[in-house]
Amino acid sequence: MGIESVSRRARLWAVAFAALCGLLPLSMALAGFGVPPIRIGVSLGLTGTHAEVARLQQCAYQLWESQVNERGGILGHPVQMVIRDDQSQPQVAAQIYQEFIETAKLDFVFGPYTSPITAAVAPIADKNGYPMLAAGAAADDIWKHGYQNVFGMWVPAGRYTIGFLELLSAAGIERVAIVTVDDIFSVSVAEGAKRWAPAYDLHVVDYRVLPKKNPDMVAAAKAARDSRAQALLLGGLLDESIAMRRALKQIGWTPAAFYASVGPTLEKYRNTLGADANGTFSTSIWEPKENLRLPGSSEFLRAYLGRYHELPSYHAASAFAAGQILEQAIIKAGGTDRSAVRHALATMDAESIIGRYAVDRTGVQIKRFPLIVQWHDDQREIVWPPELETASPVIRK
Amino acid sequence: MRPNASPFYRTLAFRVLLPIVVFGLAFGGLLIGSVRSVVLEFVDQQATNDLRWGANSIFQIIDTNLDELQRAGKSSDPLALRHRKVTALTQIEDFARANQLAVVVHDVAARRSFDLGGELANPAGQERWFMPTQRRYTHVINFEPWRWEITVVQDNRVYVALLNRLMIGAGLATVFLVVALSVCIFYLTVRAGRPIRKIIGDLEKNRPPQYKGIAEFEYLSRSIANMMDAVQEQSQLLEMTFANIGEGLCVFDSRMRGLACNTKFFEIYALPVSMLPGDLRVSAVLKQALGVPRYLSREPSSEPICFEHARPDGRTIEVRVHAMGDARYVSTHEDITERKAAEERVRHVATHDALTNKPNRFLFQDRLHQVLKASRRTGQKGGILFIDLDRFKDVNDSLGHEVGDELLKEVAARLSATVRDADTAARFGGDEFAVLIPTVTQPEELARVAERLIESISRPLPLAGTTLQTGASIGITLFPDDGADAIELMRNADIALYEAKAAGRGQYRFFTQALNARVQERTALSSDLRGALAQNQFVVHYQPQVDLASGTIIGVEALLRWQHPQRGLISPVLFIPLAEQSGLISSIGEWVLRETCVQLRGWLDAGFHLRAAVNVSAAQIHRHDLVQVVKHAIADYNIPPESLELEITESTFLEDPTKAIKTFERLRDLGVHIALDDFGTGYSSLSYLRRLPLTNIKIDRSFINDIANRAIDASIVRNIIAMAHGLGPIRVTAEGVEEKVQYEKLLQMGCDHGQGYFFSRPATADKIGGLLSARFSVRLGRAVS
Repeated sequence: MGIESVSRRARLWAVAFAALCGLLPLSMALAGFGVPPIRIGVSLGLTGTHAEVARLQQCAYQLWESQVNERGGILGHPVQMVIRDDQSQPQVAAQIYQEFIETAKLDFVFGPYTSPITAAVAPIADKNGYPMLAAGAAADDIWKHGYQNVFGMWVPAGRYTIGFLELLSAAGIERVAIVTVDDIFSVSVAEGAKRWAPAYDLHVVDYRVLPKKNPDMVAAAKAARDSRAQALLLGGLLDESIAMRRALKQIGWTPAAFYASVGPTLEKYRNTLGADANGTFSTSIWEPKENLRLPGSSEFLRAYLGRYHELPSYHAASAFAAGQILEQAIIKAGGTDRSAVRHALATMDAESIIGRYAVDRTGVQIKRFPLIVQWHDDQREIVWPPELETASPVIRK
Repeated sequence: MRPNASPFYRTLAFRVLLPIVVFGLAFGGLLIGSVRSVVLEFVDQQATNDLRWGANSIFQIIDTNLDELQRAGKSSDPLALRHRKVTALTQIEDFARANQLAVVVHDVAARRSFDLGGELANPAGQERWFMPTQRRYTHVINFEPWRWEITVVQDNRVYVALLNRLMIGAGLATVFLVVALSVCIFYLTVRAGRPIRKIIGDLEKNRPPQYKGIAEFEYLSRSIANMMDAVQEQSQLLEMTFANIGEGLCVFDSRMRGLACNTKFFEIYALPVSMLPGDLRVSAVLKQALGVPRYLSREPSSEPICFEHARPDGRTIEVRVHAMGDARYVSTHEDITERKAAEERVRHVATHDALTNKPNRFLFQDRLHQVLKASRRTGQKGGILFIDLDRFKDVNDSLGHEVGDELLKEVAARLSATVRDADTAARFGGDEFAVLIPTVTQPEELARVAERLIESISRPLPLAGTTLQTGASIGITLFPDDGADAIELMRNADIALYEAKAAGRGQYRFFTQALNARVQERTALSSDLRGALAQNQFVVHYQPQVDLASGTIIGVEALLRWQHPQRGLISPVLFIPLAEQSGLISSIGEWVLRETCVQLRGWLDAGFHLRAAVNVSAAQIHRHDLVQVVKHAIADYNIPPESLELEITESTFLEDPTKAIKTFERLRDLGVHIALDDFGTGYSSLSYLRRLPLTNIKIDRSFINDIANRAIDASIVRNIIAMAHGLGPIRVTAEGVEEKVQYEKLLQMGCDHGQGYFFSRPATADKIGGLLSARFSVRLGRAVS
């Protein structure tokens, strides 16, 4: 091989490279890159307290983004998710949404995770006319401000425990203790339980609100036990649910039924507590169960598993569903005009992988119903409502 | 800005807009009140309906769950029952939240209450717009085992908000309606007024008015434009008339306040032109001119009230006032100073003699009438003196009219200086003057006046480089004795004057009844004279003319006699002047000529060669046909022209010498002889002697009378004879030869012919024929008697 042959080969490579460079714009144009994308922003607590749920939701959003772009985007527009880390801090999230709207001028936003953070960004979105699907919030308080652009996807937190209370009543439980940390979601859950308990002839013998930071779960557990409560309800997130479960173990009290919001719906709850997780009740919006027979639910489950190799929580499913619902709203509105999309979100009755979507005039989700799940043998089973139960509830009397 | 721009509040737009706004506010208030009531009722009804609908819906939710429970056959299952109750409660809560209702469910059996739905804001708040802040609806559902008392509470905030919106909307709509209506009407008013204002503006600027406006007002605008145009034209016409009329005009009211005056008015009264009609000085002038206007009627009058107002500066202003019928008057003011002066001049000219500036006959008669009236009333006597200058005609003819006029003026001055101021000295024309003495006590006073007048007039007058002296004859008549009226008195004065003139120069005569009788006689003769010719009452007598040298009759002078049927033979001295005055002299003269020619023809045929002389009057001379008359006469009777002689006097040609000379020349050319009669008594101008184609000069008898005794007369006669003979073949005939000594003297002087009683009195043709037949001769020593 001489110098000449090397030069000829180099020229051939150069020509091929040039040809590729010339085809690139064409191929990009054919792929729709010439059309401005629909940019959707969301902040998630990718770091900090809510990193686990945030990660799940991030994966779901990205899954939806990739799937919708594979379908050719929405109305020919590709979708671009802009996900920022709010460090699980409401004020950081508020700043991020401010930038989304005023600086980046994104087309749409999704709600962040946790009700307190959602409550922090909701007025920003509402003020700027950005319709926002709250894919990570359920606190009743969020929908008491008369927002016109905040739409719930989950059943209100005040209803989370109804199924559990019914189970307690059916099991002959008469006294319950309620403990919650002081955030709007957890309080909503606790207040709901407290409110609905009498309907099931349940007597709330202890009601306790703990500070959000460093709550003394042991003391609360003791107080509950000392109140002669037969069942304990905890309003809180993942960390609080793990802490309370450990506190119960620590004081050696095993109530007839232990309910904790949010935490037990995550695989991490089980992974953290191991066998201690069993028996814990919780409320779920969606479960990776085939028997839910929700449209696209199984496909989502498989896609998520295939892509991320783990089971998605209802938070992840809700994030994906948020993408689905927004997609339908844009199509219904015929474009990305936010006012038209807002109108569509306020009036539409749509299907998603987590079920039907419809809101009342305050934006509160009215078509969803909660699932009561219980850890059985390292498995999370649906125990209420009876029509969807995958296992019978276990309540030790 | 227009000088006469109206303030806004007086504009049509404002007058239209203000009622609209007031009405609009009232209407708006009523409307809002009505709307409030209607809206309130509507909203209240809506709220009630909504509440009932909400309650019914809640009941429906409960019924549905009950039905489900019963359908499942678990109505007695406590667990299922609880589940259904909670389900129902959550559904009610959802419904209540979505519909902004608060629901209180009281479980009677369990003695528990559930507060569902939204929170009620301000439950104890005040009513707004008469709306309660809440309304409640309570109902008990009582189906065993389900017994709930349900209270649905409706938060009326939304309805109050609705009411607010509706009320605000209705208010805004009302305000908008009122404002829009006002603006529309205002706009239309402005648009309607704009062309009218433009028309008025154009008219004020004396431009043809433009009436372009919106269609609705086109006709109105055009009509107004035309009307304003006509009004302005009329107004301008009136204004121009008012300003340019030659008289001062002033309109004033019953309080003599000026309302409108033209420039002429101010000029007449020397007031500033810029003065306003209402100025007090205008009132003062009017009051001064009209006096206290008690006589000014408020009723409109067709006839004006006239005043003549003498101004302090001597001018006379004529003021005419018309009442216009509305307590206003229009007055015209004219400075008639010059007109009055002119009228006075005219009146003076009409009543005075232009030359002497003395009263003329008209004024004299007028004054006489006045005096006679007074005389009849008081019995006062007075007199009239008619004055005629002696020989004025001679002065005029010889020295010219200018001198004559100066003489007349001087005479007039002397008359005025002689009589009293109360007397009237007048000139009637020519040289006729008259004096009216209104009051006398005795007729003798009139005589003394007449004497003074004659004396005054007779005084020498240096004039035209010479000294003239004239005299006057005066006829006097006395009233009321001599006549009842002015005409009679003047006629009588004329008669007296005639008498005075007849009496000689420088005489005066009073009118008497005897004088009157003579005049009456003359009048009767004049009347008879007209029929005398036709009735053949005239006869011609002939007086022989004798050749002094031979003593034989060489001719006769035809002398006319009037054989009056009652009065007998009348002297020519009496009737010839009458014939001349009546114009009969021409006919009579022609008759005499032809009669003489007949007679002469007879004598010629009888063999007597005579020359017949016929007197020709001035009237005949001035007839154009005298030559023809003579020509025909001599032709008709075959008279040799040289046998006919026409006798003329100076008076026949003095009036128009040129024409007379021309006539005489033509007669001479016929062969007729021309004799100058009464030579020496007149001017006896030698110039005429030179120019006239005379063949004979007849020396006046006044020179012949004393020819034998007065040397001067003889000398004159001698010179006349010498002059006549010196001028050519002109014969000289002496008239009035009555005595032999005269005859002899004349014969001695070389006079050619003689005529007079010495030879023969005038006699009939027969007698003359006898003398001819007897071969009369002076030498026979006898004359024909």
